[in-house]
Amino acid sequence: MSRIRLHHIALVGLLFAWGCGDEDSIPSIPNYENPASSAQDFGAYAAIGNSLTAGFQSGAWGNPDHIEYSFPNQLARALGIENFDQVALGGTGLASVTVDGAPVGNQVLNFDASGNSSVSYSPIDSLALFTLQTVGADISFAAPRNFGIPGITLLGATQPLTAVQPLIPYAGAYMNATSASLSQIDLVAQQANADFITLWLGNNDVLGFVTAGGVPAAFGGQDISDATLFSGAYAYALNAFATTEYIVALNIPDINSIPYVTYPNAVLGSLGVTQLMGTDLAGNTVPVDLSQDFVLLSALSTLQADLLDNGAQDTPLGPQYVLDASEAAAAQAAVDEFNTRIAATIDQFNTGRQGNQSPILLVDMNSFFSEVTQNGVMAGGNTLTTTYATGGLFSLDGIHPSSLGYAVVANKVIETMNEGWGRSIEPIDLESLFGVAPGM
Amino acid sequence: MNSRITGSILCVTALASSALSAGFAISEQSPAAMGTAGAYSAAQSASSIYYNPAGIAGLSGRNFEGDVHILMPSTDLTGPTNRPGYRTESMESETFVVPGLFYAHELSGGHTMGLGVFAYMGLGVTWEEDWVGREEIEEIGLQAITVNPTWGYRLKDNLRVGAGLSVTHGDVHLSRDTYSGGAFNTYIDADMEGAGWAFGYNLGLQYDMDEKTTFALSWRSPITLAGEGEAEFSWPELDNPTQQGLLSAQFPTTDLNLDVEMPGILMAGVSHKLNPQLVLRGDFVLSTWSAYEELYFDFETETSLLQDSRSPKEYEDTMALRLGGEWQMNPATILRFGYYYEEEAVKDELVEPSLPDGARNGFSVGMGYALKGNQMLDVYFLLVSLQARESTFASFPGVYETSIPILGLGWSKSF
Repeated sequence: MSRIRLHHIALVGLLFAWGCGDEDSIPSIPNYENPASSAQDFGAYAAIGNSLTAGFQSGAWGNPDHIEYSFPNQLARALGIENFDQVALGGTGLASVTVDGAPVGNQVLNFDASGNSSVSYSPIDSLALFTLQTVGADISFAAPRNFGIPGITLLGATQPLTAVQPLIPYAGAYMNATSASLSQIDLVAQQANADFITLWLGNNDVLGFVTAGGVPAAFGGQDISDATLFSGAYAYALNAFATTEYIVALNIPDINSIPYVTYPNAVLGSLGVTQLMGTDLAGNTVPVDLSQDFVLLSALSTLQADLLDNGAQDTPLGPQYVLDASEAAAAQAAVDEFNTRIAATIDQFNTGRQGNQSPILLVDMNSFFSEVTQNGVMAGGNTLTTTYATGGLFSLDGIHPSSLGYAVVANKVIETMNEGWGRSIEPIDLESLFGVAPGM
Repeated sequence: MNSRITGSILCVTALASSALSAGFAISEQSPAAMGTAGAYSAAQSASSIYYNPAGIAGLSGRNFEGDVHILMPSTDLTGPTNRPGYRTESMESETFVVPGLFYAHELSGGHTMGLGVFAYMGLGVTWEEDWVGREEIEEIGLQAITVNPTWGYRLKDNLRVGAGLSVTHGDVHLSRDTYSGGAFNTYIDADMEGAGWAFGYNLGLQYDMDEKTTFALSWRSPITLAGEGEAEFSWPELDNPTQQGLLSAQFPTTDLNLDVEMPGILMAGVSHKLNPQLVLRGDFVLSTWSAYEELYFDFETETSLLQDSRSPKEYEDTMALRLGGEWQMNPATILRFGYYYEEEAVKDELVEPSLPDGARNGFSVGMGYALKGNQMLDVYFLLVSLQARESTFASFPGVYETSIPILGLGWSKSF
């Protein structure tokens, strides 16, 4: 069976290619002359957020190795915070590679005997790759802790966990008699006794719409959150954390920073495909113009069987597999709008902060991800990129960073803290994460 | 300190980060010559087999010389300056022992036959395993032994010529790491080695203008070491057995072919007897390094991830000036002194840690002491100092500082 060939991203030439690459254009981590000699005293740390905070990777929140490399856990280690608690999970994640002819469930990246790579990505239920080992009743919220709930929106973070859990089963990981009636935000504010909080919410308020191919909630997808409600919820969070001494907030990366959106068009383009058939919500066949519409990663297995094995596309792609130009524009506009409102809300709260409360720092993940997408990041003498599966920074679901990618996120947070609060926290050595497998 | 002493003279030649000469040439071939900083093309001794084959034509009887040179190079690198947190790294300390054997035998009719066994090309560089430059080089070695049968002939009373054939056996090994890329996210450790033969010749003449002054010219041909060998690859075992198996398939042990170009060496020299006790010598030396364009390991088996290893070298020809003097202090004792300067062979943009080359100055002192029975002991000390070298090598820029103290001892006998 033929597969979508990825010769253009094959690793050919990486080996023994000397001195290639334009070093000047690659952003590097600042050189701190005086590395932190001991723990940076930020007190108790609580991380609130969604899958990007929880450590979700390669389609699952389940592999203990992946949880180990969540960005808050890597940040906690860099800050010298010990005993940072995370929910104990069991499970796997998407399989990274397998040898041609011997596929395993949910494998993503294959290599044949000649080393040619191909992608076989099937939509999966991430819950199937997830096993909760520690139930909420035993959880201690008072310890420094990761409160990330995969899938949660900013608006959802203001709702009681009992209301969230039916839609997002992962919320159950944090539910016990005390917490069930609290929202994620209130749980952190009231139970964590945190002196230092990282806040990375809002991504799913637009990303859910994107990964659903722009299919609205009424048709089984997800809507973009209302901007006014978004502002209100962000203010609710900052108000809840008003007495917390140190707060770092991260904003929302562009949708064209993630391989889930950008990668399939690149592959299809390399195969000379410029147009496909799709369907709209009413079931009408519509053209998919690859110069402006985005075929999503979830469509690759369907396309492999239909387009490539048949030689021509017989079945139009469903609307959930395509983010068309207008949907992409709507998503991009929402990202910009939400980021504007995040910045404005932080500014508003910073004017009221006093005493021992350090100013809230905004980490501009949006421009940082764009820069990394453009130039990559250096680790040792190598350039890590956002290229799907082989670039090193994204995990196999094409949405969430790899362990290396989460380290890059943590380093950006560290850089912002050093600049904003005059600290000298030593960044994570990315090279030390070589050997940490990106898949299961 | 890691000491690498090569004991057996004939199977031998541990090599050094090249000392007196640029690139990976080793000009330390005779303690008597090195006392005068290698200005020796106009001299006459058994070791002239290396410097100028015409130099054996003037010898009478049988002459034997056995030498040993001890090189102790050290290099500090500050860099790579394109990465945050860089610092100064030191090359592993090693001691190299370079032996040499020379024999010249006068025949009738102005003919002299000679045989030299020596090492005039070599390189040995070791950096700490998994150091910051692991993807450039961890260890590289070139060991070569040359056998050089030589003929000298006294054409006229004041004109000598010589010629020889050289057979060189060389052994090259190289270790370095390569990042596999994000899909496997690991370092691959590559070990390559190969050995082979190279054939060449040398020619020379010496002309005595008068009793005091001699002019000399010699040429050693460039040679190409063509060898075969093997490359092996290793990496920390991956958690995922499928990934592990795939990498094993992609990085099989493979046979390889290699070529290493060694330069031709032109020497033009003069010696002048200032008075009965003092002789001054000077040599101009041109080494045709521009022949060395790349270090190329051609793998018999290639896969998608495993491609031939090509390291651009693009060396440039170098010129050197060697000046020295010999003072016969008393009938049994000779004192020697010398100075030399040589240009660098490697361009700024290609200086990398496998050969931190640079323009160099050398200062030598030496002594010869005559023993009973036509025996002579020669010793010298040479301090080679490379100018601090700022490399602009794209993937690994930095500043190299190298110095090489060298001690040598020779024993010779005429009979």
